[in-house]
Amino acid sequence: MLEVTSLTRAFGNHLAIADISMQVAEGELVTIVGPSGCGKSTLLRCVAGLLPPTSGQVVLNGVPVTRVPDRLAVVFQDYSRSLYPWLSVAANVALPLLAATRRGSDRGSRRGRAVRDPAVRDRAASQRAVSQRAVSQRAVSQRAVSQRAARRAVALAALESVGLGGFADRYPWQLSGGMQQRVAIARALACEPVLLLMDEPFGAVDAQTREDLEDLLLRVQAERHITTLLVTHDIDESVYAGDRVIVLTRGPGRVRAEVAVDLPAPRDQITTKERREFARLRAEVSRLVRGTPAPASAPPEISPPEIFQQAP
Amino acid sequence: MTSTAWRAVSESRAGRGAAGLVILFGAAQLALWAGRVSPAAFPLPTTVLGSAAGLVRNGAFVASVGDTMLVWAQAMAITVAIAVPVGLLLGTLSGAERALAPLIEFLRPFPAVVLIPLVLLIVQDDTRTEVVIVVYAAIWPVLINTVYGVRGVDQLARETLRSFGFGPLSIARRVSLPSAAPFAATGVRIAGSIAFVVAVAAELVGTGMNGIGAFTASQESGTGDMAILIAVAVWSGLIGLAINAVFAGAERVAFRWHFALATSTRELP
Repeated sequence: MLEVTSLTRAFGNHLAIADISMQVAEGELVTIVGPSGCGKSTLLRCVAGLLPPTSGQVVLNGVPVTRVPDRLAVVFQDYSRSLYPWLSVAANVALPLLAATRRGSDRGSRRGRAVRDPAVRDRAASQRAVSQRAVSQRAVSQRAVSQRAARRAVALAALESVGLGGFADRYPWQLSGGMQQRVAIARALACEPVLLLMDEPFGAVDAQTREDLEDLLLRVQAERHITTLLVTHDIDESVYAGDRVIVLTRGPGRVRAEVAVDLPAPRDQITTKERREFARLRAEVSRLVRGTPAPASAPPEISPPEIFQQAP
Repeated sequence: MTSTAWRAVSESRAGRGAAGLVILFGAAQLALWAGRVSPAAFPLPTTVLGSAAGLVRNGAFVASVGDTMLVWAQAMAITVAIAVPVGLLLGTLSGAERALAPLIEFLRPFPAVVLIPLVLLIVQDDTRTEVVIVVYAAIWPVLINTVYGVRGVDQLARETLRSFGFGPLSIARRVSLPSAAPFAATGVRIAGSIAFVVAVAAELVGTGMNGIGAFTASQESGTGDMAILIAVAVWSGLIGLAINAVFAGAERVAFRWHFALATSTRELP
């Protein structure tokens, strides 16, 4: 689905990422973790088509990425800068739909697999009704009004799905940080992306909110099967959220290892993290990130995770 | 008045400001009454107030205020129409901005009134000369604020829109324009005050112009009534205050998000 081949990006003489190759399957949630300055964000921006690679290529559904691909959504860490303060919450969420309609892509054919979600089904029905009405109305202005109503309906459904149903007409700066990042997630969902890129999306909120947002992401991902690439510096998060963890080396970033996460779904902040398997994966990823070799002897049967944090 | 209501008034900004005025007024009145300054050399504040009230019924003065405000309005419209688009352009094209910055820095400090004879030679019309002079003085704060506003547009805000498939023109319209607008508006507010001051000054210096400045000049050479001259100054000050208040109020309404953001960032962790 997403295929990255020998991707290299330099800024002047500084090599940010070098020879990164990886593949992401349809519907998979892959987390990318690495030490700070390993070029995680550079990698994401190359995949998004926001930054041309120095060499190598990114192929999305068989098409090489040379510009920002259609039906891509990006969630950045800094919600206060990526949400627009002069637009209401609903208008922020509806904004990407404006680009989608302008691209002239057939919104009717975009549904596909997603109709399993009842919210999406209702939304599709309401949009069909709205677009049928639009056909019967000849006047361009009336069509514009109904298109706006359709966009708003999609935005409201997306807000509902992230638990912000009642906040459509507030402004982003009237909401807490966690709620603002929910708005950003709703905005990403509203354009029904085939690929969702998240650049340290939960890095700026407190620990409790971070856990809530991780669970929100996992729930939405389980419902809609959006192929997702999540960049994080948090090892716990990479293991907890990912179907697979890709560990990058310190700059220039290269792929050090890939770790398959076979924790059962649905995951739970308490019971999943209680599992011995979680502790083992967490330790493995932690060692890979730090570049410390695995101990010669097998780890003790019961291994409190704190030990690994204190290791040099 | 109850004591709490009285405290609310006395602690408000407007209340304190009014108290300052009343005290100054009273002190001047007392000093003149006490005979420290001869009333012939300087009119009593109450006399000035009387003259100021009389000016409202003075047809020539009212017409002069209308003339000045008409020039002001024309000049402000032209200023915004030129400075905002040019500012947007210079803010976007950093090369052009760097090429023009020395020229702007050279032209900006010119006292606009000095240019009256030159402009009069070119334009050959007094009122139009005044408009040109006022535009010359008012254009800089709008231009410079707009340039800074556009250059301060958040890179991530643009990139977010780009990642949703918007092109450069859409990004300019949907991100650069709205986020630069509050800065441009501040420039317009500053320009509004400058434009009024320069308009009156031009009328005072230039010959053949109308307006508050010309009225003042005619009073000075005609009656030489000091109380009326001070009364005209008081009215001019009040008009200047009103211009600033109207623009400031409009900014607060139109860019509520901008002020909310400026105050909320201090409270957020």
